[in-house]
Amino acid sequence: MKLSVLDQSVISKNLHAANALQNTIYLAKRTEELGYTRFWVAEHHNSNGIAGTSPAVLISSIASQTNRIRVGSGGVLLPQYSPFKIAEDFKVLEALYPNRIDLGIGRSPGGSTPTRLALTDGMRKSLNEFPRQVMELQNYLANSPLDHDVRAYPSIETQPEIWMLGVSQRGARLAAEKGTAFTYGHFINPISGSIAMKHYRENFQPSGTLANSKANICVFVVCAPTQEEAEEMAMSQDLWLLAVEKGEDTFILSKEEAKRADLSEEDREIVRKNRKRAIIGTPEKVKEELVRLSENYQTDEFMIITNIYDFEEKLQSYTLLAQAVL
Amino acid sequence: MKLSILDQAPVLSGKTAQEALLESMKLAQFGEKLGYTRYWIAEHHDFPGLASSAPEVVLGYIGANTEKIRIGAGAILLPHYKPYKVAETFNVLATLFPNRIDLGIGRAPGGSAEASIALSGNFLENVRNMPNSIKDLLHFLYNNYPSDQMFSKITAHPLPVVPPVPWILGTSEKSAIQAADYGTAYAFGHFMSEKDGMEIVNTYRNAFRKSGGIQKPEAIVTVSVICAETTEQAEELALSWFLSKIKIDKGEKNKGIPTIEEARNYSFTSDEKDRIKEMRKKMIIGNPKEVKEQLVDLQSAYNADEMMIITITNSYESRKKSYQLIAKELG
Repeated sequence: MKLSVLDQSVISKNLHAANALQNTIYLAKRTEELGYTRFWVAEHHNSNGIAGTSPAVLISSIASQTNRIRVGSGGVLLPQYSPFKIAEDFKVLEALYPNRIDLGIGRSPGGSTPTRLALTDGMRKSLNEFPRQVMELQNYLANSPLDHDVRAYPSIETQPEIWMLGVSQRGARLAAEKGTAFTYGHFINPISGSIAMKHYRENFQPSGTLANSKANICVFVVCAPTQEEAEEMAMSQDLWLLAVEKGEDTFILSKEEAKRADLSEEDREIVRKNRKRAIIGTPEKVKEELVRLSENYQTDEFMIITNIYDFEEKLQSYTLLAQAVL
Repeated sequence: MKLSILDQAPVLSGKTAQEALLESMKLAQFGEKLGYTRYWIAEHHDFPGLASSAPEVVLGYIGANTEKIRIGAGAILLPHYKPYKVAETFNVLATLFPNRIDLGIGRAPGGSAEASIALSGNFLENVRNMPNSIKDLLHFLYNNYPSDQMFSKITAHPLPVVPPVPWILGTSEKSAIQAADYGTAYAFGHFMSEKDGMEIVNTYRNAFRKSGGIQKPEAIVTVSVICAETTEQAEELALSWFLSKIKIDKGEKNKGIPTIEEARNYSFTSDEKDRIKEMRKKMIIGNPKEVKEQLVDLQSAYNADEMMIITITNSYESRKKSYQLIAKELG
């Protein structure tokens, strides 16, 4: 089994964004040593507890401080941008760090209406343009643009790997059609994943850069020496997810503060439901669950996301998992 | 004299884009060691000979490999982008590299018409809208949108302790007046302007209005310099640089800067010689003493706070040497 990391650079309450970004870089160095395959950073806008707004910039800093681990975006929210510019960004990255760059792309609008308008300069962009944008991006990366006599430089020998990020059959279908790798977000939608994955595999069309289907699954994990400790740490993540869904403050609360939180019955129900998006427990239990998911999804690579308060405990979670699985 | 570096990340003959970017990083490190104040990297699109199509990405790499030199974009070509995204990007950089980030803003296309269409659609419309874009960008950077405006509801996270410092870059009076109106610092491109720069920088100083950013006007003048141990060596380096420009004018795709041999053996037509004469006017070429003299003159003529130097030669070694000699002579 292969393990990878998805990191959103979440900010623990009472700490600063600078700590979150430094922790992201440290986590990349540490997980590289532990044998993780990829390290991806996400794109979120206008969320006060998330420091990761601009993946390409952060990738550059991470890759320059690591040696082997693949570094990428999970993902760039393509509908907001010009495919040409994204091709340039990732060609600069690929030139700097050959054969180490993944370009994960997503269709999510990336925030509220004012956020989207700010990102697109007041223009209402249709999300239906996404398939065309993906095709243009592929063409610019491959140096075969269709419409314009224009190339995305710098000119390089290798290409970043494109990963389509999806949480439904629609994402799977597009990834299959365009011949990209596919990441299924179990941590967002734990329900329809195996169908999406099956569809992707069965309909995959080889492309210039990818001959065979290639997929991974992204899942929340909180791993600790005992089940009790893991459950306790996961409460920070529970409340964080709740706050994200409700559009509240998104700083991560400490275990103590999370314990004290006064939840309504409705909130508790959401928390219970959200637990399906995560694996929480001892190394043995997490391993067992991953093996089960692996059979269910027919894939052997997992992207692990862990949004808990204490950075030492987060490192411990990734360490225990690597020791148990790799 | 405060000195800084402007780099266009040239891909020299026989080199790859990767090597060019590695040399950019080394130049920043070298500049830091030599005591240069800032290192800025430019934005160009659809030019095989210039590797920096995404300055913000290169800055993530340069910042991680240097300690204290200020680093920035010279420039981000704002008409191509959304102010909110630019603010987020530079806030990430300013969070990673506290108190070290400059955000130079330009309005040039940085490439062909087709490249502009691919980047941002209606470029001219975006240029027309530039004053609004700058206003939006500054509000996002200073995090001070008036509460009656829609964008007061959103923030360009992460918010750094010290925001990136905005600079408006320009080569004409228009940009000087914008910088003065918005109360930003100003960088004048002497190396690419046809205008009376001293008058323009003077206009900036006189019209400057404080508004949320720096306290008083601050002006950098960017000049193209080639410095070598001897005048002859400097002239030879300059000649190969001129030949590269002439070849680009003729429509030859940039294949790096020709060797000194090739430049020596090339027979320049009289038109080409005139072109060289024109290019020379905007450049400083010579041994350390000659360069110092001209830089000092130019700085005092402009009353500039700082001189930013751009040097492109046919080897990364002679480029570094040029920056080294200048730092030593003026240090």
